Amino acid sequence: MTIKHRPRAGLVQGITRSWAWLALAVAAACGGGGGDGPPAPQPQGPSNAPGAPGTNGGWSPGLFLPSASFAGQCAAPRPGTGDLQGSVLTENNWLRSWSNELYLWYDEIEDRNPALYSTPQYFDLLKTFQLVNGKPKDRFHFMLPTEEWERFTQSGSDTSYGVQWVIVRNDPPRRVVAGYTQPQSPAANAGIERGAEVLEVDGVDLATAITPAEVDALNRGLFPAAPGETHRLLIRDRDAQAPREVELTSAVVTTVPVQDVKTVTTATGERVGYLHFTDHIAIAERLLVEAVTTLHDEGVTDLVLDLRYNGGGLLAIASELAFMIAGPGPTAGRAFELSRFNDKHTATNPVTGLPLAPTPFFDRAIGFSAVPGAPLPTLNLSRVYVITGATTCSASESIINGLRGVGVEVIQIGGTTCGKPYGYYPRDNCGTTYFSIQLQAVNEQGFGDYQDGFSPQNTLGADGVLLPGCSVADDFSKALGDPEEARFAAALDHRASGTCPAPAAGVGPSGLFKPLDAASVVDGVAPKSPWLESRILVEP
Amino acid sequence: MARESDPRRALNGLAAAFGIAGAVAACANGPASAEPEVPAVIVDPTPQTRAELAGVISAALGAPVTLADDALAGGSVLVVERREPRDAQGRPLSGRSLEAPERFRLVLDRGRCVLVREATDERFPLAATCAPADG
Repeated sequence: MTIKHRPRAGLVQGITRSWAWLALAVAAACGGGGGDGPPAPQPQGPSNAPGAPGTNGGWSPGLFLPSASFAGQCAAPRPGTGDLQGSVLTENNWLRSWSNELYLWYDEIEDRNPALYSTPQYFDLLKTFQLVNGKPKDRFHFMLPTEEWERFTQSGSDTSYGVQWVIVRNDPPRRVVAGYTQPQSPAANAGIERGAEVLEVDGVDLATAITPAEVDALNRGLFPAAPGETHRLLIRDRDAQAPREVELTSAVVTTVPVQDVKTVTTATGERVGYLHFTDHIAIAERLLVEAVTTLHDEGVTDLVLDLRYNGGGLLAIASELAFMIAGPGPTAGRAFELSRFNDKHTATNPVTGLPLAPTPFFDRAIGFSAVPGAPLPTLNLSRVYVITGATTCSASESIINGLRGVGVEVIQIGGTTCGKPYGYYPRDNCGTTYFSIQLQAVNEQGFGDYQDGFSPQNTLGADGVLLPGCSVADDFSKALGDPEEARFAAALDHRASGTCPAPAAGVGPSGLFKPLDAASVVDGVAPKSPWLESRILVEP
Repeated sequence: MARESDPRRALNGLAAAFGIAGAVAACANGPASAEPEVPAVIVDPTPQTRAELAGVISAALGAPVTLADDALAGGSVLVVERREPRDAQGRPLSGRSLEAPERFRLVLDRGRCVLVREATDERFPLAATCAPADG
């Protein structure tokens, strides 16, 4: 695959401005002739005359023609499209100019001769290589074939067994367990529940497989590519002593992104709501409305929002859910999130051409799947408990940051989030779609510097933004929504006493994606289809 | 040519988002027909009806689409969105999407089964057998 990924987030220090302050800054930028006009050659250091002939193939360091002058000029034009005959150089020149126009950290790109690289190599260089806290600043630099990007699905429907595997450890001794299942799916029908551990796949030992062929077999068997594939898994159910063999046949399974909606009555008679939210997809809108309506009707005075396996998605749904939690009091007329582009685009979205405006807290259903325009139910809470893990990312982090921006207390239980306050407008050129970070998302207070994620305050070795709460490992010994499940239990205990259990080793940010000690109780990775890596599990 | 990924579906804050709701409301007025159309569902879906439906939607979007076996059999509205690829940690590549999903609705129009793309009001007659949707 051509997917590339990289870095960590850039620190834009001192962003603690009010929107009034920001508005003044924007006005000043516009009055000064602004940076939102059409791109023009921009000297950034020593330069030759633009387009000068010579050994550089026309490259003049620091001078940039508009990307539009190179767009669609392809080394291999696609038949039936508007592609024109070009070359690797024209494709690289387009990337060079496009990155200079839109990349968030364009001024940290080293300007290299585009004639000297293949296009994938060149794209890989068109980013910052700076480090923050010893980690790459940009971890989210991708490219992939446009035909893979341009695929659609009925909301929530995709090929799978209907079980969300969690990779607790990805090298021998490997460990994969079931995180949750979809109702009426092949996995659910086979009796697989959270905590079931995979021991073998089509006869290959999961823990010890070493050869590429063995690991390929594991990937094929755990992550089927098409409906109708049958594989045999040896699993050990939660609380079971003996393993059992199951035969699973993949199908187009419909995800239920809001599950386990329930109310727990505490010893003091207070009612605490819980909901497990896994995907910001269109059908989630209606389910979230139904869930919040139920919790409201049951009179909850606190909410535990479980986002541990939620990697984000539609930002508008994050805004709707944040409004449903907080209600109109703290949110009316305030920003849920604002996109900040590079300093050439301080007033206008350079992609849409629209004036920069914050995403509000939506108080009515947009209509992705709920009734368009219907008022959203609210819990009117001044605080929320959020369960998080390594998979908690992007729009899920926006819920945390957006609520904190309007003064709602967010108490975090679990592991450090992924740290992605960034976004893109993916762009096709010549059959490849490029993801180059173009914006940083900030909240009502102008804060968006959580590139190392959010961490509960007692997390060991955390680099990210510390929030009140407790570091607690994922607990596969209990069902999600079980008040005895370690993370849910910690939320309930913290609510009652303000205390945390001892922080678990391996839950800190450095322990999330690297090989883990066998003894660690950890926070796994929850891969969801379609997976861009051709191989999910890896050989050592 | 180089192009943004589906700019028609790009949202930018409140105005665009409410634009969706407005577009939906506008489409609810239906076609200029003497007989009112009614929301519909597909009766007894078969591989053939599913293939027809997938083909029509794929052609409308210009890209492949995956549908559930019971698509438009249990309800008259079908929401289609990007099958977003995942990064190496299993998280959506974008993760902070401003795209609006596509809504299609199935109607019975003078006895014919018609799929309506709400964003554009394009209408696609289907050979599948439809019945009025409950409620």
